Amino acid sequence: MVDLLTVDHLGIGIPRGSNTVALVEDVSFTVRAGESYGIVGESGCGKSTTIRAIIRLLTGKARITRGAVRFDGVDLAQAKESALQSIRGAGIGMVFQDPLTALNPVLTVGRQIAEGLRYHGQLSAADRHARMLEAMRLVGLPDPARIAASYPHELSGGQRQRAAIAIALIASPRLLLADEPTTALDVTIQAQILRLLSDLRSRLGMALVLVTHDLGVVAQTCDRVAVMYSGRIVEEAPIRRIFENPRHPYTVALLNSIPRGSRAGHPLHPIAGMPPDPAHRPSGCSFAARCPNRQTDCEAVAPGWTPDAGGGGFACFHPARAHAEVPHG
Amino acid sequence: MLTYIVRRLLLMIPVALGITLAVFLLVRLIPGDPARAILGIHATPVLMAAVRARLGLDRGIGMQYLLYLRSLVQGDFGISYYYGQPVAQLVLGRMVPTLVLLLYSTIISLVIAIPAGILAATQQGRGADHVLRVVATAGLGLPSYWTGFILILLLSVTFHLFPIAGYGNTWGARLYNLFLPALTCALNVAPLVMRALRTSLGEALGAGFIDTARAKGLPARAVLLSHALRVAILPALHVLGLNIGFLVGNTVLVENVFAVPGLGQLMISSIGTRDYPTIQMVTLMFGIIVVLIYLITDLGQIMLDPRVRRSEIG
Repeated sequence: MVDLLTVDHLGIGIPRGSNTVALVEDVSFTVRAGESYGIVGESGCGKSTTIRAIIRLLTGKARITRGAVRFDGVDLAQAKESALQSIRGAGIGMVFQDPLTALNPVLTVGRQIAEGLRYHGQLSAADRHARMLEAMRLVGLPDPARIAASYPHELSGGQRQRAAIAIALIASPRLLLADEPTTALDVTIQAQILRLLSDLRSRLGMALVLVTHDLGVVAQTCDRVAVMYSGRIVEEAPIRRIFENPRHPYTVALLNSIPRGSRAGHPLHPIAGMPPDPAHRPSGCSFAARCPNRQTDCEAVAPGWTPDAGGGGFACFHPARAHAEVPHG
Repeated sequence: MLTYIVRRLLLMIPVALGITLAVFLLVRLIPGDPARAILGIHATPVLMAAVRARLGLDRGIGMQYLLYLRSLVQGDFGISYYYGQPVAQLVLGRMVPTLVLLLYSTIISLVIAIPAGILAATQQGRGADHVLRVVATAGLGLPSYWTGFILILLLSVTFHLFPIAGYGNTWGARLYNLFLPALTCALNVAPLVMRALRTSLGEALGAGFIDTARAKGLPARAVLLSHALRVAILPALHVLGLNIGFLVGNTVLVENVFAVPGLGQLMISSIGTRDYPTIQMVTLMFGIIVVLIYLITDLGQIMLDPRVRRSEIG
């Protein structure tokens, strides 16, 4: 498969006083055309910051400090605003976390869906309207004509997220970025939206980058996954490997912390401690303080990247053994 | 929608009653005697008593009020003590300049406040924002009769750009003549609207739907104008509506500074002559104008904001 998006040694920082606090450090990954790539990690690990940086929609004062984001032969990290505008929507679409705030409250849903087409391509108003209704059908919104004339507050949370997906898809992007698209939704709706994203990806042949804190979501949706911790990717692997043979102790801990609803009374294993403050990261491995495999070398220098035979790799001096029993810490 | 408007119009009746009572009592608290104002300082006591009896001022104050209300209900607003003609006719003739002045200054306020608010919100914390904040605070603090004179001095006397005072016979002349008075009124109201817009637009620009709009590939202008401003303008218009009473009060002062033959000027001159029926009618008209403008702004709000459109009218 062809590489569609290459994130290369990406660093993102936020100025604080005379210093810059690094939110994301040295993140590299590649998304191939048509593939589904997951990024997981706990709150504040930099996963949302990373995908926002891809289409340069960083919030507040956050800035890309180094690295490149290559899409279609263009380095988005260096691209001008006008070049970004032509790529946003038409090349890369994005769905956000909270469908309650992602739609403009005073414009009709139909207008918001069709709007992207006014700036991409040369369609007439009638053609844009037809495409809008088609996109609404595609995302499973019932009675598109009626919903197109509705305002966001008249729709349910799930319908709003479907509308937000239609907005992201209307100009046929080859890559869809989804930032925790199901977190704000009811559990039953979550499953529907995930299935919809998977369906759309295979039907439209686009690639998907899905950011989530929920490994279960990744398991259902993604081909490959990156695990982020404290602003870095600590492990990357094909989806089966991450569940069958996780190598990084953080991934292991993350898998152990998944509640297993089917077994009543099964104890939860939360990860003890907190991730370090981005302004005061240790010089060694960021996870060392919480890590069951910690040894003295972990605190001296940050571990480098060890490629894995089956694709992917991990950043750890003392990883879990390949094809070993998952240790319980 | 229609029932909502009718309900709001019916609610005007108690408001109007309250205004009549307050004004009726207040005018009678002003020192001075209408009979003296009509007859001059050499009038004999006998003559004065005769005039007072003719005007009905010799009765008890409660009786006077009831008689006033009775004629009001019959559509009789009384005869002006000073002009000797029906007050209704007098007041109607003075309505147009005041309404034009109100509308004109509202438009100028928006023309000033919207670009200034956009500039302040998009430059928040930077130079332009600080300058606008100082200018706005000054505009708010300066009394309109003073800014009126300064504008006359500057633009009329020094640069001969606008007439010093007057109204005019054609609409073109009127708009030209009323520009300075309208600007004077607007300078007091625009800062309020600008500050409201700065806040609401700053908030809107940080909202999630702005990310969605940018992620569609919209140019910055479209994001600002058709998404952020479209939402942020609503609270700013609300502030404008709330301050219409303040604006109406300002027109009274400004009409006198610029000799605009409107209700405000009639009000001040009839207070001078203790022309009770005229003062009462003019004040009642001002009250009705303010209440009607509140209704119009509320209806505007309902039209522009789909979130209240359905809940409000229900």
